[in-house]
Amino acid sequence: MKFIKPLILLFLIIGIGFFLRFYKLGQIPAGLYLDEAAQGYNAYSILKTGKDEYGKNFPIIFRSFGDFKTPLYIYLIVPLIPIFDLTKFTVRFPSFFFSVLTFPLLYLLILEISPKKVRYPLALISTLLLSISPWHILFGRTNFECNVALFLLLAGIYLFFKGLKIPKLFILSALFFGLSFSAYHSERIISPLIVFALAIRYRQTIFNKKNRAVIIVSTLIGLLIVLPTLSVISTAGFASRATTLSIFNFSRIPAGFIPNIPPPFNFIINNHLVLSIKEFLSLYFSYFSPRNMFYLGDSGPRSSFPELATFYIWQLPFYILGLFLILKDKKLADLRFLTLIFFFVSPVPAALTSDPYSTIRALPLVIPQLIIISLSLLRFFRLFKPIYLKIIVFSVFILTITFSLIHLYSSVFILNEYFRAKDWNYGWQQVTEEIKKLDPKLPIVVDNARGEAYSQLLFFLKKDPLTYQTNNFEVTPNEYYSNLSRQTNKKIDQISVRSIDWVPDTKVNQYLIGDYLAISQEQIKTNKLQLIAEIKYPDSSPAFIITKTNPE
Amino acid sequence: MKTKISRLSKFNLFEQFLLLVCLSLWPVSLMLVSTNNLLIYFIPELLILAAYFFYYRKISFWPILFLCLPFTNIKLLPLPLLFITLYLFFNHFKKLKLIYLFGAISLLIIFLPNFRKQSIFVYDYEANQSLIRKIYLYPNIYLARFSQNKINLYFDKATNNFFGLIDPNNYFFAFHPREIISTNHNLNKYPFPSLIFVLFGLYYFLKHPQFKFIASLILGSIINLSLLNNYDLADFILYLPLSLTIVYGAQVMKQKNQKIFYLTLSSCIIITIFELPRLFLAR
Repeated sequence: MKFIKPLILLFLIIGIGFFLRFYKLGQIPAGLYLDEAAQGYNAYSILKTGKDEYGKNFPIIFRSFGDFKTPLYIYLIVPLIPIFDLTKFTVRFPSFFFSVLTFPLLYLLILEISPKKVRYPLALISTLLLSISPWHILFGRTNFECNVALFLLLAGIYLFFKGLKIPKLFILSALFFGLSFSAYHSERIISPLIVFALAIRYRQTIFNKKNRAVIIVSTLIGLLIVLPTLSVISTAGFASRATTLSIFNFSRIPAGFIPNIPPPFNFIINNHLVLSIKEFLSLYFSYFSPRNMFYLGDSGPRSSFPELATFYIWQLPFYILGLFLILKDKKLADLRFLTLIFFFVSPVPAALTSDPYSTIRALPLVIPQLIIISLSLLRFFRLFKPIYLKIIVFSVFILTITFSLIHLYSSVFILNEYFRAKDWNYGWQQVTEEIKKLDPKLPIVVDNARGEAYSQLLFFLKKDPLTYQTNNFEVTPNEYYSNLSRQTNKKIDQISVRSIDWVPDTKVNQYLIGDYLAISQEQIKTNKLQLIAEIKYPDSSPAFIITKTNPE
Repeated sequence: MKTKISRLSKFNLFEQFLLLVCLSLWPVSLMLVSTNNLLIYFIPELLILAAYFFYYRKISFWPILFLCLPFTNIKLLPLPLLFITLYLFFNHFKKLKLIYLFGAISLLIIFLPNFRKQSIFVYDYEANQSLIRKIYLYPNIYLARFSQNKINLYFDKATNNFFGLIDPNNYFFAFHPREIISTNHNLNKYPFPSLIFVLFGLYYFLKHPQFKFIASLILGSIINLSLLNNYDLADFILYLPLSLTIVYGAQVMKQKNQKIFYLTLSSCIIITIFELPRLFLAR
């Protein structure tokens, strides 16, 4: 009976979280960002041919736009395509699925590591706050690998704590830690650091003579899973991403650089190391800053919702109080240790890159920050002893959650759709629907001056991967990870994806497609183009223009 | 680490000098950007410093100095009332003559129209238009009114200020190094290693001998500055309470762990020496 009440509440919380992530999953955000399209089409290509868009057999990391995407998410989409077809829903489904699975996992983890006194209420409050968290919802509704990686990381941690009692579970724990390493870039730093911290803290139990065999097997399994990723670690492709983003890349100008300082003084005034360390620390502390957490949120239009930060504003006092509690209350034992480790380690990979407050890269931080808020919320609830006061406080809490959900609805389903449609590459689906209506005998030129339009065309037109691979050679499979040269012009049947060259292109009878910057009203007039269709953003501004040339 | 602080460590003359050097960044950077109206920012700070000195020496008329603040900078009009109210609150409405409270209220009533022009309540045409545009996006009027209303306009400005003022990055990294806020000078305020002293100071803040004065001043100043249309440079009012927190954190740290104290102090000095010439060159 003791377990039934929390279980009912847990199912209710999972239900709320499920609804907030599943409602209009394939429709909102309305567009399909190029990364989502690329992941979806590469999965489709793997399904049909066993090769990615460049003809590489089952890649370890996906070349894609030269950004070398982590593989796990793409492979997770593959089995979904025969079930749901190649749709926006399909490419977002793994993120949604693992996001919902994170609720029971967090609940179990907190039950496992918390002191008896706070166990159930803390687990329930934390899970509830996670289920309504704008930060977690955003990445649970869109195609981002970080949510899958977070689930795997938490699973690894949970099984590790279970393994302290049932050592065989260390093997499973290693499996999940290894998978998280391959699931997202940030976890390549976070997972080893957390494993290291756990191993140090619980060394006496782990390195017990009885567990020797299990630990060896676990280590081998962990290494086996990360081995493919490690095998490409020294390639130019793998390194290029790290060096482009890293603030310690000495070829970039550091933040705070003062120009025109003569050489002997320049070394001191613009000391690269000091400026980079300052930038790193500034970025690192920005992840704990109430301004970013409760007011600004992520500045990236696709990694935030309008008028909504990563946490709700009412959680601020509980965050500050919770920080004090978690630092002070040593009775919290394992919970305190894990929360603090998670708290301090999670922003490290994000702080190494130059983007300020990158919520994608720092997603694991949502867990310790919510535990901290939940802890102080729990203490706050316990301040009220008489039953009538408890009822009042609980009612106020429910009311606050309701207001938060209304605010969330306004931001996610109304403002985001209206103001951020362009950022979500809205309009390509409509473009492809129009392409299907065009004369199939005439060539089509799609302008790609701004973006990698070919990925969305391939996705929505579901073009045959084998034909595409044959017609669009970029590198040989041997040079897949090392040759960074790119072929920006693409050929998809009668469609050429390239920049429009006005003089020769208007002399041929063909269709020209581009955004309002590529094909302006002035150009339509000057080049006597025939307007076939105009696709507009939800705010009625022009998104794409489809025209036909008039060579005569 | 024991949380009990029996007697705070004292600094020798050299340590005092080093700490003073570390605390010099904000005044210097302020001087460099506001040469024309420097006194508007420095006189209130001197008045607060004098009030703190008298308070420390238990000279009873110290609150009068707070009542002089609005005469030096109208942006600080609410501060006397906020400070005195908070101070009374922390002392369970004892130890301070209510005459000061009436004085602060009178000042607020007299100068309110002048303050309003500098506050978040000044009419913002752009924000109002944007609000109207957003209202039309909602499926029904109740949801529109709940999500987009005029109170939100003021609340949003106040929260923007508030979160800027409580952001540690504002004081130790001039916000983010690549973040330029159009209405802010992004002044370099403290060397970033002194953040360790602040965190230490805040952790033991409740045990600070002048806790009530400093807490009232910090809270009062933050509320006052949050109400301004642009708090930039006026936030120098926070210099004294923040510096006192840094010094207190340093004192506690020296008592708890001398090695870490000297390491942090040395890093503070190195960074201050690095930052000071940069302030002049970046002008």
